[in-house]
Amino acid sequence: MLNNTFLPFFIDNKYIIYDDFLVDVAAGSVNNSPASPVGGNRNVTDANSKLSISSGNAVFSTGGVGQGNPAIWYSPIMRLGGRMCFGKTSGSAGGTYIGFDTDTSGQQSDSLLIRPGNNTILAVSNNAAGRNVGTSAINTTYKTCVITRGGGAFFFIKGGIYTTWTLLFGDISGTTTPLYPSIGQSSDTNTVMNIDYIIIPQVLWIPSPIMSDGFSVAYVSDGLGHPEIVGLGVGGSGIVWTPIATTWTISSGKMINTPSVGSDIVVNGSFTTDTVWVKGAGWTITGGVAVATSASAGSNIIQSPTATIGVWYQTTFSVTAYTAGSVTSRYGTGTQAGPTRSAIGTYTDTNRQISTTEIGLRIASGNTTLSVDNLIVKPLVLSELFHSFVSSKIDVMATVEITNYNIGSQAGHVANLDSKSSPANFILVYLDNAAIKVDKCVAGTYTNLASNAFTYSANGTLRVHTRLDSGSLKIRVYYNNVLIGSEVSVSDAGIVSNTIHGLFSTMNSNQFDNYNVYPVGSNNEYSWFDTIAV
Amino acid sequence: MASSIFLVDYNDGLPDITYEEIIVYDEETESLYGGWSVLEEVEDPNQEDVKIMVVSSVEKLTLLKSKPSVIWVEDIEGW
Repeated sequence: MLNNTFLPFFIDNKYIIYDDFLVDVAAGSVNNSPASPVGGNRNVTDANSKLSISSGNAVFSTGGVGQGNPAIWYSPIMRLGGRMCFGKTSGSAGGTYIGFDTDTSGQQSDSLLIRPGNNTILAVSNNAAGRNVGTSAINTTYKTCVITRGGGAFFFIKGGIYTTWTLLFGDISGTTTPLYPSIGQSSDTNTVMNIDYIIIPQVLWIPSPIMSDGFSVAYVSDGLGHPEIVGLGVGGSGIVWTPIATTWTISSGKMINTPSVGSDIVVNGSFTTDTVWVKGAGWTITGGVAVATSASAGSNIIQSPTATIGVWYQTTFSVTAYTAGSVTSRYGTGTQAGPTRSAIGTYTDTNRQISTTEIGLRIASGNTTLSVDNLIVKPLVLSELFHSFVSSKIDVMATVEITNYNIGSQAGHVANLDSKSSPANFILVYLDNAAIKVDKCVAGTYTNLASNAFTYSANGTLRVHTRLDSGSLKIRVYYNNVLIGSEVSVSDAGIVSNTIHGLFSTMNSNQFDNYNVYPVGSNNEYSWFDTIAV
Repeated sequence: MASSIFLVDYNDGLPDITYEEIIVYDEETESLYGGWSVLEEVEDPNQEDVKIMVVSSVEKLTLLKSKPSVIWVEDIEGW
């Protein structure tokens, strides 16, 4: 709460709403009471009389009806890009929304839900279900900020583990106007929370990306990779993708990578003779092909050539005859495999060699009968798999549309890369067949930190959100705005200070568009919010 | 959908569980679900007893609990 002495000077014409809850109002009587000092009358739903104004706070007591009951809605305002809504809240149970609504009932449409009752923070955008974007704790004070865009909103927080103003999330969907500034109770009927203030300043502001590329020109960002291409929020243009990796090119406005391949490491990949290969049960080599006959799942035909653990390879083979079952390529172990192939055709996939130098094929389902020919395995050059830029930011929110994804390849983000020309330490967040994976690579050694199933959708957005916290990078991954898996941590010294970020792709049929990167805020990029939200 | 926490050994940078053990096809949504995320730092690619969150069906998580090489810690949601 602000000191009343300063209020007349502070608020003069600077705020659309500044409800500091200066005048106490008993529960059941808050409806139509005036916002104090600025903001018109409060429109309240509170069937159980659980909302009061006391000691400078809107007080939500246990026993409310549910989501948006009790809640306060203020006079509507037009949606404008950059409209900011600040709030401040704390409590011991349940949760509260602070933000905007498209109507005056139920869940708010564009708001941040601080829900210490179950340790979460949810961003609600365009009336969608709340997206898990952070963690909150009971009896901890949080300041929040929701900033509307022409469509969607940005969501910020400060408090608890978020020691600086932190960009949690951004969304671009939802254009409804007008909007009702609002605070309210979550669905938790045991809510015990206070809201210290809600502030809508006159000033409009939208964060600018440090990189934005719609890939209209090669190797220099065009600033068209995010919606705010004029006016507030414009930015991210003129950033050079360095050093230039010539395998990355623009095709029809999409960024693609056509990595070069090395020499084939397979011996007798055409199965000319029954030599070299180690054949599992059900495999034979005859007639110039490898034949699986009623082979069981897990049966391999392999060899141990000069494959190097940790290197990415491209495998091509042909299924020349097919009766039943399926087969996959394998990269060191049976679990590091390409997609299952169950029809005549020639297939190419990529993956990283793990555990052993073995390469070959693996039966993927029981009772498989088919023939295979022309197995070719060629190494890829790691530095060519990255298209990156040098920034000054360690932790970022990077988002890209993967407009086409080829099953059997890998496509996504590289973050906190140490060197473009000699990469050895970095984080990968990528689509890999039916999963989204998070790997860290430390001094050339990979460790998988998360693998979670997803369903690909054309133009789906893959986002990596990193946040520096006491020397550790907290990593969250979103696909189409939905959190994938859980937050994971990386503290390796070789990674946590790196500021090179970019794209990762192992195959030229993967396409990227609308890449944008925002600072998360650990360098106090958004500290000026404190001049409004004290 | 359910989730549980396990202690799992890492081998060569991968946890000792497979997709086959946890991925589930949801016929209603016609999509796959399930996966894992580490809940603590993995400092060694062959680290033992790494705490991970596993999301899958109750049936598959129940089977995972009986796998000798993993240690069940607690159930989180969906049980």
